[in-house]
Amino acid sequence: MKKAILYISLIFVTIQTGISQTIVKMNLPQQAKESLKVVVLFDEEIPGGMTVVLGLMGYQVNGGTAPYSFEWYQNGKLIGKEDVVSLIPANGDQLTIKVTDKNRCFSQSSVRMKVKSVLENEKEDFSGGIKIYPTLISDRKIHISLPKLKVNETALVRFIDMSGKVKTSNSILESQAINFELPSGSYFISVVTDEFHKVEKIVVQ
Amino acid sequence: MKSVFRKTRIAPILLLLSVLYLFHSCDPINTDKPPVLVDSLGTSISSVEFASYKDACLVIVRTNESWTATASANWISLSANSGKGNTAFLIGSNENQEFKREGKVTINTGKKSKEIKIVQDGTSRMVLNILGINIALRKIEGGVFTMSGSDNISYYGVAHQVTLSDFYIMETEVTNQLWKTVMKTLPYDTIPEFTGHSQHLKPFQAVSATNWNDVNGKFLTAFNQITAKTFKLPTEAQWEYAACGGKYYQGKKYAGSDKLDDVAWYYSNSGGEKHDVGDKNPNELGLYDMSGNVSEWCSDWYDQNFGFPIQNNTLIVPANQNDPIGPSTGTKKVVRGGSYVSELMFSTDCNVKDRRSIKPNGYDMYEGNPRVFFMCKNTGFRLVVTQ
Repeated sequence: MKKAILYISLIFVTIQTGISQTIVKMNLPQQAKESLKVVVLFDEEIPGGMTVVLGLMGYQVNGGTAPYSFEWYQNGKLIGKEDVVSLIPANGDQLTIKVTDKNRCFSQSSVRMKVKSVLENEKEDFSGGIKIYPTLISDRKIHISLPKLKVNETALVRFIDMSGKVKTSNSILESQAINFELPSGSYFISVVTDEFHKVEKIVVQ
Repeated sequence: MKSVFRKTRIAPILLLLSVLYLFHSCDPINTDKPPVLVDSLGTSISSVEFASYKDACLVIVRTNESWTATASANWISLSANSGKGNTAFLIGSNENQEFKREGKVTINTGKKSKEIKIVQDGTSRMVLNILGINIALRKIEGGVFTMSGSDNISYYGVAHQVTLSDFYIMETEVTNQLWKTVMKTLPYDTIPEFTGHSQHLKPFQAVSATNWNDVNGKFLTAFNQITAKTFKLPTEAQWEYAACGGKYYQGKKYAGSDKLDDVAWYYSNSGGEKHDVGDKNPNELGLYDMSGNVSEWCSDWYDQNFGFPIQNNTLIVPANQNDPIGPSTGTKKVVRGGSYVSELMFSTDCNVKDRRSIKPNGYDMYEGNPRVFFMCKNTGFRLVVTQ
């Protein structure tokens, strides 16, 4: 009798299991046809030591699924989530833009940017080839060498003493030597054109 | 004693003052800094050339002042339009789907202004929607090439050097559909003898039986009004350069191949009919049917010697011609490319160097016969535009 009850129970359980089988349907995670990728469009290095304003116009987002969200990181620290970010990077900083798409897929590794050394930036000058020589003067004559100027453009040459006071000034149209009458001492000569400027320190003996 | 004492107290003070004076007067250079230029303004670049796709560059503004930046066109974007002192910011451009374009970014301080010239290249393939019909144009990068003078065939004309500027040319010949959309009627509608030739009326077939005068006068006038651009028939030099594959020319006999079957509908494979444009393989520049299907009008007057002068029985060939437009006068217009009736065995019509000509009113050797047989029944065209 016990065996019969056991068999009946087993049959019942088997039937029940078969009838009430639970099927769990799982959706595959959503994924775009093309993987998300971010490309930096500019190839200039980021200058350190000055305000740098970056924006989405400098990047191309390919693949993934729109809409995208953006996060800007400086050395791993979140510094912005807007279309534009302003920062003052230092030499060696790592700047990263992280782009996340609608499916929470993200891309960031391809857009790490190096910051150019500040010293390198300082080498950039806007003298445009203006030359002022010699810097040690005994004959009260200084030579100014200019790049080719536009029609009607002049270069303003100013002699400035150590207190910042303009002692004398001349406008010249082309490269030439300028005679001056100033007492012995140290001066700055500033040459300014529409495009360029250069300052040189001179000693008048 | 008193005086000695006074001397001994004053002496160190005098000594200290004199040392300070000497120190100050002997070496001022090491203690002073240059005066600051209050009106300085410089930029790291003065011009930028962007590719036709979305592009950007980083510009550095060098100034001690506050500054503003403005772009001259809405396809130029700036990551900053104002700032104070030295600043780096981005200049970006949208993808350009049209011709080469120019703009500028102006940076202003209170006293100074600097302009950065922005040039963006034109797209390599432009699609225009003309009254619901998409027309594809390919950009042909200009260059120097040797025009004509192949296979020692005299009517090809003398070989000579030509330099061409960039231009855009239609990827395919103008179709019946496009002609009818622009002109409301097909050329064959006004030819009574054409009845029964319905095999030439299919919309995607190249339009033909269009004489030069009608194309250059009526069609182009209407077409340019619709598109607000200045389309033209190609010059003979533009046509040949494009058919040869431009700077990708590999010396192929036909437009894109040495095997005519690959690229052209001609007598042996056309079944005596025009075919839909773009069904054969394109040439190196992505242009279809430059050999075969319908021959194509050019804008030049025909002259066997391209209008070059003859002095003492010697043809004077110029060392180079820039964007030549052909002779100033003539009686026939240049036709190039061969057509679906060109017979490979007896003619070289489909050769990229071959030159033919027809009177601009479309009548030639068949003049007087029923008009359906006039020569330009096999002649169609495609158009070029520069900007």
